[in-house]
Amino acid sequence: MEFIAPPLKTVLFLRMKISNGVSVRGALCEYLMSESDTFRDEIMSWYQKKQAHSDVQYQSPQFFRRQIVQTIERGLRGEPVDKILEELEQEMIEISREDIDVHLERLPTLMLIPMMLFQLPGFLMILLGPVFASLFQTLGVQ
Amino acid sequence: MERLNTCFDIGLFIFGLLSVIQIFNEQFQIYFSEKRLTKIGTAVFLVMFALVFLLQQSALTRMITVFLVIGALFISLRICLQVLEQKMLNRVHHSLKNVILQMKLGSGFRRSLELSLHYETSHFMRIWLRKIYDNVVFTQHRTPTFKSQLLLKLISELKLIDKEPNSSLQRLENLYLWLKIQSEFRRKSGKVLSQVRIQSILITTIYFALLFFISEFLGYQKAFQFFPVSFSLMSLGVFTVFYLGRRMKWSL
Repeated sequence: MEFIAPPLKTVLFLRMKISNGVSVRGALCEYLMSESDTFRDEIMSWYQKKQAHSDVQYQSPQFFRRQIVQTIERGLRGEPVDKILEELEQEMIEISREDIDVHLERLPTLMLIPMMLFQLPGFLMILLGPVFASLFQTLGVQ
Repeated sequence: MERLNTCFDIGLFIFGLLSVIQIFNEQFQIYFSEKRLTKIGTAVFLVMFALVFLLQQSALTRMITVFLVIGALFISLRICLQVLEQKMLNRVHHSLKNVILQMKLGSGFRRSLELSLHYETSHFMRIWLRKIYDNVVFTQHRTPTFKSQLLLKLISELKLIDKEPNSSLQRLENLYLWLKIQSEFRRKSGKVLSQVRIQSILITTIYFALLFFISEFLGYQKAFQFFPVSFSLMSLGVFTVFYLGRRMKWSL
């Protein structure tokens, strides 16, 4: 699990750069050069295809990823995108916060599974194994 | 023969220690002055030397102890430096806020950056920020071996702000927001990861303590009779914990 959702990282970076006065194309190029995650690779592949054939559509089952790429596409056409990016950013921050809360709630239950299945038997084996072995030896059981 | 073995172990110990120092040398220099580093290094060397060589041990146990001590030192230093860097990254936006406030009061970027160093209460944070300041202001300085990509981006962004004074405040505010949100998520997702790590470390420590206790109580032969199966189960448990921790995904 990355410390921050890759699409949120993308939006944060692009918004910072665009607010600093960098063009969408410049911000995108800087992002593609500086980041290294799965979403960056997807954007890179889409951008390369787009440069070769201008009518390429970005395909993703995830809503926000599609929205980000569509926003970038609009920005590349020269439309203002800073407001859209800001809204996307707020929405994604909320969702990411909820994601973390859900993970933190589920984690203790999830961690019990390996503990009960593997670690507890491992403990019992080292703790009671020699005792039972001695007991069986004393009783003469093979 | 015994003397030869001891000499070999001492050589191995010094070589291992020097290798560890060499690996972390540049990172140490970010946080400690050369004088303090020498003192710390000497103290660590003496303690570890006493631990390994002054206790009466057989040649094999001594060699294992040398490897264990060097390995433990390497791992603990790596973890310490990572934790330290993470802590700094989580707090750096506070210092940036000081710079912004100072600039709003009328100081220039460099002066505000320098003043924010004086307001910093943490010793490590002050030294760390000083390295960043030197990097931004004295551009001929070689970038120190900061591992974090985020930190390298921060330095390059600060350099850009330094070069363009007309929009520096706006840029700093954008940078502050960017760092603040990243820091919030780093702290929160760090909670998830730390729970996974703590459970694994705690269980493994208890397991080895129990193994040691049982072997002292019942003898090595009886205690280690079930060790292969038990250790395999334990390892499988630890791997599953990490796997489940890693499998968690963002819904975005």
